[in-house]
Amino acid sequence: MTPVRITELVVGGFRNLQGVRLTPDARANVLLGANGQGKTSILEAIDYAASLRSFRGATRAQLVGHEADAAQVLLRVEGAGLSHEYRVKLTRTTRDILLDGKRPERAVEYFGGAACVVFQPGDLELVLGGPDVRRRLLDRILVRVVDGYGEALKSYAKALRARNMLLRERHPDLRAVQAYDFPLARFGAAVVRARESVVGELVRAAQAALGEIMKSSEIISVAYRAKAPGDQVAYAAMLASAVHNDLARRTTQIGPHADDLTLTWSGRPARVVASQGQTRSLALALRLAELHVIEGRTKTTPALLLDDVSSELDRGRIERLFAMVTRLGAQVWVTTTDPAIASLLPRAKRFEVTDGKVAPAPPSSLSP
Amino acid sequence: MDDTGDPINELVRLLVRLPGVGEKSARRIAFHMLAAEVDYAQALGQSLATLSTRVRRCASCGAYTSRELCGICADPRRATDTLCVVARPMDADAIERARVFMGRYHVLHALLDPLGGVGPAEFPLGALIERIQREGVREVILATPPTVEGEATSLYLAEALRSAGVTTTRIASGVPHGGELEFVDPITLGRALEGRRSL
Ligand SMILES: Nc1ncnc2c1ncn2[C@@H]1O[C@H](COP(=O)(O)OP(=O)(O)OP(=O)(O)O)[C@@H](O)[C@H]1O
Ligand SMILES: [Mg+2]
Ligand SMILES: [Zn+2]
Repeated sequence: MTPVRITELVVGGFRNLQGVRLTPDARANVLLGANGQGKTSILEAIDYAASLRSFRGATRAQLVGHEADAAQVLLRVEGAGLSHEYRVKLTRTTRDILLDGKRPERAVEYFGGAACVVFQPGDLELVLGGPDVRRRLLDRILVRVVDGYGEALKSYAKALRARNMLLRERHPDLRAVQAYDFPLARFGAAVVRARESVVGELVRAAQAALGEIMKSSEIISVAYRAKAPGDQVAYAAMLASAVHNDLARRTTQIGPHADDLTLTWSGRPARVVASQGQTRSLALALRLAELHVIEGRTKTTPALLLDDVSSELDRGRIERLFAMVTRLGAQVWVTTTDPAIASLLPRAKRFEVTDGKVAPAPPSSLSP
Repeated sequence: MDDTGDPINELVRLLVRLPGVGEKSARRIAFHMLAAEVDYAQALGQSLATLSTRVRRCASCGAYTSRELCGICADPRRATDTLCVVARPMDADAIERARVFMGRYHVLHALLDPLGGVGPAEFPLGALIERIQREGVREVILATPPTVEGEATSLYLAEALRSAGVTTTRIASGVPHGGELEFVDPITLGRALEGRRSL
């Protein structure tokens, strides 16, 4: 396993960050600072460069600094003896991406090398939120591990929008609506197959993480129940037989855009029965499972970005989490307002985040 | 600095709209024009200025030509019973360069794309059907691109032409997405679904 190691980070004009330039430690990095200084924004900038999405669900306009014209992130990443440079430039309306100075031709080329896994307070939504949050978890994994998945997902979304637009016409043209059954079935079936292929691994890894970090022996289960089949011909037949329903509802009802990844905790829906602590544990277990699946399929260990873990987990769990990360050899980034958490990673490189700027901080042994 | 009215910047602004030309190469071209012989820039300008009046769409197939009919439509050796339907003139050109197709082309200049403003009402299906009937076309090869719009268009045409009694085939399109995801083409799919569709 080759760990993904970020060896250089340069950020400007992203949220409140300005002139950030840092050389992280290969293993562990702690970003310390009071509330509202820019700690989460740094993780967001890293993950944005690696996944081209904000884990806080922000739009481009929200990410570009209020005072800036453009946000720029440069990420240098080392893995498997190769070094790659990821460069993203955002304006409020545009995005330019460069991989090693060139426009990447295929999504997998871009996403292949710089995998990050993020765990952050908003992840409770994985358990409590709607199906879209869980579909995003699957999609995040699959763009990195299945060649062509990102393109298939994009094409599926486009075909779906077109078909739904035709369905909303006053007098829908049935032949035109059904013309979209072909691209919809082609890309939709591919999405379903890819999602189904990964769920088993995800469940096993989540179960293992729950045991190791949470010392929990609860049985969790995760199921992806696709209403549309992964076989393209069967998929198209299903669309054809459901077209009258779609016409009546004026929207395409069945397909991977409407599927859920259901979570059960000791046999009951997790959203209903899990306590707050259990909800956090389950969310973390899913993120660690994300890391595990990407590692297993790509033979590279993603970098782990942990935002504000002390607000999410008790000290025992944090200690076991850090021990697990160390064992995996993943590069870890931790943000916290609490120097005591930083001292749980004694060999970490520490940075002080103040008002959008970052400076090296003294090692933990020197702090009071 | 206010650039408006500056002829060099004006040229650069026009050049960057060309496919594959960025700001840097646009400047390089602009300065090249200034350094080159006056004749060259003038000939280029003349050629561009008269392009739209000298080039028009072939009255029969829609490809670009300087005459009423393009070279292919005017060629009596080209088969009239086989028609290859493409989205853009350059697609016909690409197939033509392979030198294997002996029929004629039909350029749609559009794909079914409701999100882009081409719904069934705007899609030029009528002209195609009319031509098929007028010229006695018996087989239509659908060579729209393997994109979402291209695939939807090919299935839309396959269905529409089938009810007009014409057989259609889909050009083999090389798998664009490669790797682990494989796909069936729309005609094969259409056949697989024929039984169900008549329900
Ligand atoms: N587009 C933007 N331009 C400028 N500043 C922004 C922008 N978006 C958010 N901010 C501000 O950036 C600051 C840093 O936010 P961030 O979430 O990174 O803080 P943090 O250090 O993680 O704080 P906490 O400890 O409270 O989580 C906040 O004051 C926020 O209001
Ligand atoms: Mg924060
Ligand atoms: Zn012609």
